[in-house]
Amino acid sequence: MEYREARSAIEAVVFASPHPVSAKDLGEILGIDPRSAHVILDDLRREYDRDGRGMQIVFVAGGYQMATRPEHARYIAGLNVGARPRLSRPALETVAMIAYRQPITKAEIERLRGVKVDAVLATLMERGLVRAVGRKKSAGRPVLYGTTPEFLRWFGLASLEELPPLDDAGGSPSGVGLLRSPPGRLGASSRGDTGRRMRGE
Amino acid sequence: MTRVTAGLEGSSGSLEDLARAIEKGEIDPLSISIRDAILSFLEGARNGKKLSLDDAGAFIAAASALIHAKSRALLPPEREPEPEDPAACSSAGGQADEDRDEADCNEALVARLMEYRVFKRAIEELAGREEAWRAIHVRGSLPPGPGEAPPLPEVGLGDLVAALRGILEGVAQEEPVPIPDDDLAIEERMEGILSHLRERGQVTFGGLFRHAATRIEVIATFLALLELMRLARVAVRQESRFGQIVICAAPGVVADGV
Repeated sequence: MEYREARSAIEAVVFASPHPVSAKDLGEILGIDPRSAHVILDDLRREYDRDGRGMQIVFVAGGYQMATRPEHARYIAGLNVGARPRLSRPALETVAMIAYRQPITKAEIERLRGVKVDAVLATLMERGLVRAVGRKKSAGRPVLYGTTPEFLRWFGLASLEELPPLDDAGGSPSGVGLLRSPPGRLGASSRGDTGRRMRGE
Repeated sequence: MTRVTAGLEGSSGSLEDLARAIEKGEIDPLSISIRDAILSFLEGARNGKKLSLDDAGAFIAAASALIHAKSRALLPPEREPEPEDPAACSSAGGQADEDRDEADCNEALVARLMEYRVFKRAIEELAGREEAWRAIHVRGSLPPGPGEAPPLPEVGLGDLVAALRGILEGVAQEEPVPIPDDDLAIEERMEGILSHLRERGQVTFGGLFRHAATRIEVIATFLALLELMRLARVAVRQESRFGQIVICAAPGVVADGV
């Protein structure tokens, strides 16, 4: 497959897909080496950035996805089609603990949070951020919970490894880190380190 | 106990502050006098310090954790591992284990306090990410929910009000406003909508108001619709983005999607 043809096809597939597409999937779909897919996507991303397009290609939940740029959020809000909901504070805390400690039982979450989490857990499951992933091999065989790919999409994370580090070293200014690399890999591309980060996966 | 008071002084006495003090080795959790901690907290609250519900809650959580740890330390060591969590403070028994048991409990409390603090930072960061990511839209941005996405998107109050504005614009502005007889008018309209739905199955938003000649009738019909939605007697959906709003009977309860 020729480069231009592959690039065009990749753009189409990533656009049409309702969920993020991995380079491996793209490779299989197009019958090319996944590494080539990587390189082509890298080029595409740069092209989108360079031309100042309204769209960008983001890497989230292990795949590539077309997305709008954050600076256009207010115009998109003008569509009046409803905004994405925000998690409540208890839901946020609970899903964070599940994300870092998965697989985890409800009792363990409750011990961490110090409160009952039944309602919050139900909400998180309803939103598809959390699911039962198995049962603990202990008395009562309690259900173990873990996060879903939807969780990664919700927070714009490429993978669970991209969760903010749980360092308890007092000096780490996590807020600064957040500013330096906004969610997922957006924005990073405009600073020229996209290629390195992408290939470093 | 001055050391302890120092650790809690000038703070809300929250779990976080406690954890920090323990981390620095200023406090041995089991050496904390709960009485002192509470007195210091109350003193702080009395001395004009603003007492927020969150602080109070955090303090109660911290105090309960301490009481729990202390009460455990008073109990003789357990002979059997806890079924729930074998890693918890249990021991195989024997007097020699007693010290270790206590140390384990101690450790467990510190671990819990530390974990809470460690999470707190990550949670703030995740909240920031969530907020930043909300500004980025992908196809079908709204999460699909637990199962199959509903065939028609649900309609929010804002959409309805916007649609109502359109209807009202079509109604003559100048008109003698009749004083409504009583609030029965809305109940009548509710019954009217329901009977229409029984006959036809569904009705478009515009169709609802086809026979409403005056603004007051439009409003009464709209209020009736809102009431029916509140009672989950009808479901209101939009055929597509910018599409027609359709009202249909709700056989079951219409769950709030978000």
